[in-house]
Amino acid sequence: MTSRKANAAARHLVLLLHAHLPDCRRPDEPDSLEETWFFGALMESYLPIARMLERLEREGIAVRLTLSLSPTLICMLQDPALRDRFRRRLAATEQLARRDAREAQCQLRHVAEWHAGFFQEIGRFFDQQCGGDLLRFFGQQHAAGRLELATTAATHAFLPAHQAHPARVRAQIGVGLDVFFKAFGFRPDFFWLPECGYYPGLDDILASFGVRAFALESHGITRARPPPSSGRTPIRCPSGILALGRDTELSRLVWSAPGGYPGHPDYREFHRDRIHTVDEAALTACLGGTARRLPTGLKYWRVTGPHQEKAWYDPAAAAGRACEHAKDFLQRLGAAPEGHGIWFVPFDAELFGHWWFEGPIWLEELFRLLPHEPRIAAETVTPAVEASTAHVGRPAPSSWGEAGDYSYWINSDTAWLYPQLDETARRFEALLARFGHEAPAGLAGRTLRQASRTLLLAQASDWPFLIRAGTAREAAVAQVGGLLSRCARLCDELEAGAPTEATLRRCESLDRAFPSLDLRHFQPRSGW
Amino acid sequence: MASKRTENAGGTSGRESTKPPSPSSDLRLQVIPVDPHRLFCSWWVGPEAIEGARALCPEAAGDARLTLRILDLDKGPAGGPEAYVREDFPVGAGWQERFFSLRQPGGLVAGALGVKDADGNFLPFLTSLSVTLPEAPATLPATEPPLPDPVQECVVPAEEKPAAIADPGPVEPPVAPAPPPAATPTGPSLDEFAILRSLVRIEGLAPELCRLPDLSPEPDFSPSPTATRRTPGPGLVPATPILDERGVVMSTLAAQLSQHSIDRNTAVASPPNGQQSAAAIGSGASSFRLASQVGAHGNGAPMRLSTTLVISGRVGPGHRLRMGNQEIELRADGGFTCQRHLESFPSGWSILLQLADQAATEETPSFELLSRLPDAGAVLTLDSYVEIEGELLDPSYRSYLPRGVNVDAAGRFRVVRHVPPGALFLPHLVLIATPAAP
Repeated sequence: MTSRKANAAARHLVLLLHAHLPDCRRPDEPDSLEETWFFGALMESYLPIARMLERLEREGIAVRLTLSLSPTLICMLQDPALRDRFRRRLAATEQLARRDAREAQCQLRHVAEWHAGFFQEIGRFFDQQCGGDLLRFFGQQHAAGRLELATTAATHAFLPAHQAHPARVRAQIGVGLDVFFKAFGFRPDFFWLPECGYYPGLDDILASFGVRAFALESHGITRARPPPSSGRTPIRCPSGILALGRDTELSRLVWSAPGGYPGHPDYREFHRDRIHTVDEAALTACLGGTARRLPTGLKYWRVTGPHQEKAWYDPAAAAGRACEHAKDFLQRLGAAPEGHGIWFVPFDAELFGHWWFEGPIWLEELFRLLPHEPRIAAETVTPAVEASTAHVGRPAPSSWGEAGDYSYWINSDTAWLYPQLDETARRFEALLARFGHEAPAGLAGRTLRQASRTLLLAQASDWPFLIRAGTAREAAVAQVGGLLSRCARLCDELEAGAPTEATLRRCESLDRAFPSLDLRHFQPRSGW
Repeated sequence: MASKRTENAGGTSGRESTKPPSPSSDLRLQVIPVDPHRLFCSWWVGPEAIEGARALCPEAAGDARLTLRILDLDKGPAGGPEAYVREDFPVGAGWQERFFSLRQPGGLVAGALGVKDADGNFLPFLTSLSVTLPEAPATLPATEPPLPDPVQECVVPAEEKPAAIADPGPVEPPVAPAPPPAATPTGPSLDEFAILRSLVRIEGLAPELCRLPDLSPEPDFSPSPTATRRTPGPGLVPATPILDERGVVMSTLAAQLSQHSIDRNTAVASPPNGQQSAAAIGSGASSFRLASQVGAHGNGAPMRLSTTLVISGRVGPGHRLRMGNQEIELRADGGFTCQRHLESFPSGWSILLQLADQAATEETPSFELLSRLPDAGAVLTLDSYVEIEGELLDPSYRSYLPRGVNVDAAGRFRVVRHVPPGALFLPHLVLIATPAAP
């Protein structure tokens, strides 16, 4: 590959995008906030990133990118009914943009037309290039060596909160790896720790599953015992697995809310959506008679400045700015003091496109520029970390949360959740033990499997995150409350020895993740 | 407590053979690390466990306290059992959950619940699994200068919620005059903290309120349950037992409130004139002030609460309704109102809705599930709320009540909070009863 530079002095840049959404399918709720999260991420992030990869491949430009896909996201991308609902949502969004283009004044017409074209192209790419199967597209990119695919825990549970129960951690990891294997036909080398949450001993569990590398927040490396000479030096844990630290300085150029690239006045304003001003007639005509006022993805304004008045979005100016910022990023990386190691910059995939609309353009320009930058070689994560000289040590317990510890997920707002999760898990584990190593057949077996599915979904880190962040607090409480309630109901019936088809069918219709879930992952192992 | 029976064991070594005082189902302990200095612990010590502890150490009389000991598992055995002891916290029985601030950061720790007597002898009867406290980023000077921000002129604000999902805001019913005190009930008393915790989830109760000190009944390890227990007088439901140890209140409150700041021991050990370290004043002054307030009002609990869950609604034709095992009487138009005094643990309630002529297997399992049915509104409409009647015993707690709540001259108030289904049907709802005083 052209991007592989033999130059030993080259600094390795490892870009990783972590794509994750909680399982948010609501087949019985036509306009749910939760499915809107998925539609928004798909139309603004996942598909634009895939389009970027396809375009660069067509032009013969080398790409080295790592993409982590969470198991819940994989399950949703595999769901044909959800794909159909996405197509309808995409068509409605495009229709609303075209309506705006017909009826609006000059400047708005221009930006509305541009949005209509953008979403039309996204739809065409989804159906014609991907055949409606984005996972297959990513699998092909992996096979071509352009993408390294990775995954994470089954429902993105914050694993340090469950560290006292290794069987629960094992179930999250084992089920997650199974989902990935069934989707792509191979086991990933790299495992993304949800929220970079690490505690001593987690590496042993990962290693037992054959994982070769994982990532940490930077102080997980710099405070390792013994500490390495640099935060960019991978650590080889006693279990043999490799750990890589996030480069906070480089990441900050993109992540920083007050000073990162996405805050530039030329970029599209995330916070002002067309839905806030659309009239009922347009809402009904394009999004259906029962449509709720949820974000459409049509954002016609640019950041402009910190004040409320926003100027119209100029797609060409924004694209130009993204290219400039890509150049700036490489210049800063090239100008950094000499040193060995890996410049590892992981981001949430949804940042690129959904939050920072021009993020995929920035990324594309980065890959266009990289072949011309002799000091920097892009690489995917596992080859990069395995080619580096590793320091032997034990990483420090850490996360990439606000304070670098676990408090973003375990705090006074969310603490109520953990005893409930623990109690629900205990009931499930007692039932599992009652049935022994062989999963029961028939209705009881299905009910037990459904209980495990619901329990995993309740453990997602998304619920405490959303509660703590306050952005969708009520929705998160309702989601996790419903999951715990359904799991309790299933356990009730199993404990009474009287599972019912009616309960089971209802629960199966609501919580559909992991259709071929293997209960053996929940069995405790000796030695833990 | 005689030392010959209770080695002052800090760790699990030497204590593993200790027979639990009751069936394990009556004891729970979960320890979760939060930050380098803090743990979140939840535990359940039921009546059987307390009875078992009494049986195990009958001479303990009233001087032994239920204690959570934090064990330092990084310490080697060479230092003897004492080496394992990191800190002790007096705690309450029943269902409890609290944050604990530790003096020493980091390390591999575990919790041990046990009984500690006045001589410091500790008899553990349940040990948690071990966990590792996280580490904060190093504060060492950076080896490289930070990269300047690429964009200076703009600030990206936090994501705004679309109007469609904005919080509806508190729904305050018309304020009714405070009711007269009810007769002393004969049923079990309430754990108002559990209810308050639930209410915080339900909507907007001041967070400070749910971090009140640990006012649940201290277990009494005397041989006779009636020997030393103080019986509340008549009045509202004796939700809050009388505390008998000021130090427990002080330390617990400080630990509960010092989320980000004040060191537990600084608060407890501070002299009455309020002299504290500059760091404590800078970061935790408000916590300390509140601790002082509680200390000032002595041994009494700050408020009493009586809480009722009221569910009213209407059922479509051809249905009948049960709450738990109880059939709900329906009016001719399908309307109904039912009440539950919130008192039992661990019981969440399923509201079962059945078509009158259908077999049980056809039932819709619960309202939570029902709520997702497309025609749920036609089958059942519900309006649930929690009604709290309270009495402020300490006026300084007035400021922690939700805004808009009227308190009469006698300190009585009434709060009504609507309950969304997701909160109502959380398993257990953390509604906890403690045994009524005999």
